[in-house]
Amino acid sequence: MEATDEGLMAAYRDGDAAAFDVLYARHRGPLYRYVLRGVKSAAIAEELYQDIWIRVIEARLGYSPRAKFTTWLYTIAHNRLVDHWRRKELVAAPAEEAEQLPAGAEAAPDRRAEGRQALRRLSKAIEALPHAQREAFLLHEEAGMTTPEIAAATGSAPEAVKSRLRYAYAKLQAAVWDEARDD
Amino acid sequence: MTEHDVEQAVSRRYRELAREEPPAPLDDVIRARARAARGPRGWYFPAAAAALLVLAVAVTVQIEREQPAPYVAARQDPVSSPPPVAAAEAERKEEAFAQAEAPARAMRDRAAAKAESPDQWLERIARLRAEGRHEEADAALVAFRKRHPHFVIPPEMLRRVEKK
Repeated sequence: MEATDEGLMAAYRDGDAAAFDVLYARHRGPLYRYVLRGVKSAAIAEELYQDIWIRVIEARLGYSPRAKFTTWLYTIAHNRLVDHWRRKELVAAPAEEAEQLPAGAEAAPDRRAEGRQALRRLSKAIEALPHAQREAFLLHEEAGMTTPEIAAATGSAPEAVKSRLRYAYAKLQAAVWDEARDD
Repeated sequence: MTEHDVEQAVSRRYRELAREEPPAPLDDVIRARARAARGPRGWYFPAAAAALLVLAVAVTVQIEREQPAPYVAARQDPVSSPPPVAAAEAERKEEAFAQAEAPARAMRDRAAAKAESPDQWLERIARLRAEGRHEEADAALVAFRKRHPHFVIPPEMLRRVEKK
């Protein structure tokens, strides 16, 4: 039976380094994408991403598996991003310029160009979302978090999160539909 | 198209496209930090913190033991004022008491701040916010988040501590 995130974090807290490696492998991609789409700059995203994991490492001794590990991890991530935006005096949304669309799509060669174009369009649509809607969408998609979990991690009311998700999906669906029609 | 269908369609497209991952060297740095943290630091820092706490308490107790007996002001006799020498002595004692008390009080305040639970801390920030002391509230909130990065602030409390 596969170890739970909570079990792995508790094992790491108790000195098992291999447990951290497994946990890290599970969450590295989703957390990285969550941060990357929150700041839109690969260099800043990498710095914040590393900082979040260091906070996890430093907080390990106080870790207690009362809540889901994912909620704990993304609460740390959310707080780190909020700190970043505050330092940048960005109240509503981060304003860093998008450097470029990251590579990494592993589509078949004949679909690569089409895939990159689609990524560009969907990325733009996600980027255009209001900050709170984008964050709710990413936490749902990347971290697989439910509405109450997102509410807990971001310190928002569950009704507000539900509404943000509904608006976000509706706007992105419109973007996807436009994309298909244009193609 | 139902809300569920919309979510499924967007989700499918997003999964197809979003595949960025952190660079491998960054992975190596983080894994190395995790392994290093598990080493001697694992016990050294909590042990050092505990030793510091014991030392702080010992110093506080020592200062309190060594400070002069609290000065009790001489009863004022409306008819005869205390002689000037006695008044000067009283003043000197009062000053000595205040000097001895100051570091002990500061130490006790710091100890009290350290002993503050996250809920008490948030309640204090909410009070600052309610009193319009926004700069102090902002600073306290930043400090709180640094100290308790994983603490989930309940929505009701968040509304009270965050700037409107």
